[in-house]
Formats: sequence, structure tokens, C-alpha cells
Amino acid sequence: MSASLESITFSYTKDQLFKDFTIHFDRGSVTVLLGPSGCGKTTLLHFLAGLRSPNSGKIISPVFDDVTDEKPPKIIGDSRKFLRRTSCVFQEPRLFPWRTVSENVRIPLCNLFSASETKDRVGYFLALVGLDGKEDAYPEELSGGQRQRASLARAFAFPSSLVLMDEPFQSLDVPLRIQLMDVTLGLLKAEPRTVIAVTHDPREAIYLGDRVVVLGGQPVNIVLDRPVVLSRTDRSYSSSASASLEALLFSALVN
Amino acid sequence: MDQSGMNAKKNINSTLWTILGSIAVLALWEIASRTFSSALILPGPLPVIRNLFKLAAGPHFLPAIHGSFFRVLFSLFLAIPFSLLIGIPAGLNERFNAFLRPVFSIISATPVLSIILIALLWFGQDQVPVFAAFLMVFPVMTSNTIAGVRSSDPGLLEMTRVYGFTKLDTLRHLYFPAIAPYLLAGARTSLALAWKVVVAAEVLSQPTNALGTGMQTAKAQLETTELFAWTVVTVVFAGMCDLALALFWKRKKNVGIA
Repeated sequence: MSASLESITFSYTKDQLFKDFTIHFDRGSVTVLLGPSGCGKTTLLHFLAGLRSPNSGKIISPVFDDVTDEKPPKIIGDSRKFLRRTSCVFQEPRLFPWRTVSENVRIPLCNLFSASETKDRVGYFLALVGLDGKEDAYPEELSGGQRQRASLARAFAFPSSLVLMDEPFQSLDVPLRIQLMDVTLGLLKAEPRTVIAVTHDPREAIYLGDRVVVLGGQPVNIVLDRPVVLSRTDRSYSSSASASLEALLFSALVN
Repeated sequence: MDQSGMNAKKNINSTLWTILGSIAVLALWEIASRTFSSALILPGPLPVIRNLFKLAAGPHFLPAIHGSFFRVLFSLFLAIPFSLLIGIPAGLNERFNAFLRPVFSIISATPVLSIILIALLWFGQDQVPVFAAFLMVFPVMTSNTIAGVRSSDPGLLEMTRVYGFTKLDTLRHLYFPAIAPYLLAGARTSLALAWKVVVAAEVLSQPTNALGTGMQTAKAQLETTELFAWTVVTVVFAGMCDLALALFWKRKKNVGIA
């Protein structure tokens, strides 16, 4: 399932945030959006998640689109369930504090899968994010990184074709960020999704993205739009191969 | 371990002072009753306790406690569903909340005795205490429900919307757990209030089995010692109810519900 915004116009106040804004996201790719605070990145995710409507324009996202015959890969359960749904990883974990880790991952699934399918998916994804053994822990008993792992497991266990990430690793230190980005890449290998992630950190964008888009200006426009064609090792934080792209992103962000 | 050791020490200390306080109250009572030296005005603690045992052996004692306790519980359990039914929409919708405000202002400004007297015109002896206590407790429980709804995390609400929760699921997984600790706190306040209102209403409405009826009968017969004994029974039972709910609350908190 691909996603796009076409000729979006939107304003909170009388200043226009979006004016005739168009962007397309390819199916199965990871797009990272960079840009200064308040440029409209989160609003863009809200449009795609169906949490907010633009004043005019067209949104194509799983939330709104009719079922097509595109078939996401099947792991556990009926693949048709994936087509119309979006999941989200927020900056905070947003787990129910009164529920255990496995219940937090399970609850969004229980109306969609049979009991045994639900159980299998929850176990499978908790293992993928490295939380096996923590199934019965409450969120307050986990570290910040573990909570965000649970949030990732919930987003991928949920049968969505589009995963939105709103600065998901913002509050973690750099080694933890890299760990969690590796977890995310592992999840994508297990069940590919279209991912749209927002971040402030160019190095994070290079590490995670197939494509990097820098947004800026008011009304917002696309300042830079680059595919990331680097090997896994060339993407690492200290790699010289990624230095020129990093410099390019920095200069695009500063201007 | 240090922490728990300190807490234990603190607990022992406060328990000791609570016991000392109780002794001081009893001593003051004894001194006052000797000063008046009239069992008609202020009987001492010992005659009251003796009278208490006499009552406990009598035929009216257990049915009276049973009757009053049942009325208190009934008024509370009546108030909980009503306060959820009104409080959840009022917590979600500011207009509905504003619309309800006059009703609650009137109820909370009306003297308890007016409510009891009016209820006497409308209901039978047994229902008056329940109705009066319900009316007193309902606004407390409702405002706690509203506070609980408002305390719920907007981030979690957004999450439930992205993950396609139905309204019922959102209620079950987000709002009910958020309301629960507020409702329990409200129940504790309400329980103390309900005991006072139920007994006051019983004094006036005279149901067959009731602590308030016992008090009224004792007063009519100028049996001051017996009036005191009934009062002691009420205080002890209301206190025990409060203690039971407090322990329940503490346990829930430890489990991580609240």
C-alpha cells in the first residue's frame, strides 16, 4: 500500500501551514521526514492517520483507501486485514499503565484475529523486539528503551500496511537509539511495511531511511528529497561514506 | 529496605500517638461526666460501655446494625451506576457538564434535613434513608467520575483512535481504568457521608430495624446512656467500614490498578 498527499491545503491560524502540498510515499519503503520544529511534520502524520483533516486536497492512506488487491506478505493470519489499517509509534510509548506488556500488544488485535492467531502474533513480535520474558511486566517496571520496544511490537503486531513514527527515539540516548533502529529494521525484514518516520536527527534519517525528505518554509515545501543508497555498514554513525549526505542534510536543515 | 524500616518505625510512632489520643478522649469524657455528675446529661464511658453490652445481648441490636449497614451500602451501590452514567458524558462534554451544573448546585446546597423531610412525604419508612443518602452521595461520586475522565491521558486516547478501538473498547480499556481510583476515593468520602445521612434519616423516619430508630427511642425515654451506646455503635461501624475500604484501596494500589 502506497500513501500520498495531493494538493493539501491546511491552516491552524490564518498563516497557512500547507498550501497545494503534494508528496508520494512508495509502497514498502522507509521515508524519513526531517525539518525544523513546527514545520508541519506531525500534522502530516496526523493527516495520514486520519486524526486530522486538511482544509482541501486528497489523502491516500490505508485509513481512507478502499481495499485493493495489493497483497502484503502473510505471516500469521489473514493478509487482507492489513490493507486498511495504519499503526503508529509515538514519541512516548503510550502503553496502558494498568496492562502488562503482552496485553498492551494484544488488545488492539483481539477484534481482528482469532484467539490463537492473536497469541501467536503477540509472542512472535515480542520476541522480535527482544521482550520475551517481559510479557507479564507492567510498563512502569520497564526501562524507557524497553517501553519503546513494546510500542514497536504493538505497531508491527497490528495488521497495518502503513507504520507512522513520530520522533520515536527522541527521548533515548544514542546507543539505545541505534539499538531500537536495528530492532525496527529487523521488524521490517520480518513483515515489510510502508514506513513514514519523522525525526530531528540527520544521522537517524540516514541510518533508517530508504529516502530522506527535508521539509521547511511556510507554507511548507520540500527542500530536499534524496534516496539513501548506502550499504548497512556505510550507514553507521561514524561512517565516512555517509558524511557527505549528512553534511547535505545539515545544510538543508539550517537554510 | 532502609525505606521500609523507616516506614515501619514511623508507623509504630503514629500508632502509639493514636492510642494516646484515644486514651485522652476517654479521660476527658470521664472527667466531664464527673463534673456534670448526671447520667441524664452526660453518662461516663463505663456506664455507656456496660449499656452497649446490654444492647448487644438484646433482640434489636444485630437487626438494627444489619438494617442500617444495608441502607448505607444500598445507597452507595445505587449511586455508582448513576454517577458513571452521568459523569462519563459530563467529563467528555463540557456543554453537558455546564448543563448539569445547576442540578448539582441545588442538591449540594439543600440542607440534609430538608431532603429527609421531603423524602418522608414521598417514600415509605425504609426508603427515606436510602434516598436521602443517595442524593448526598451522588454528586460526590459524579464529580469524582468527571475528574477521573479528565485525568485520562490524551496521548492514550490518540493511540486508541489510530489503532481503531471501538467506543466501547476505549471506554473499557482507557476510561474505566482511569476512573477506577477516583471512584474508589469518592466511595471512601461517600461512605462516611452515607452513614451520617442514613442514621439522621432513620431518626426521623423510624424504620423497624435501624440504629437511628434505637437512638430516637432511647431519647424519647430519656435513656441518655442508651442513646450514647447507640451512637458508639454507629461510630464504630462507620469507622470499620472506612477501614475496610482503605485496606482494599491499599491492596489495589499495590497490585497496580490505581
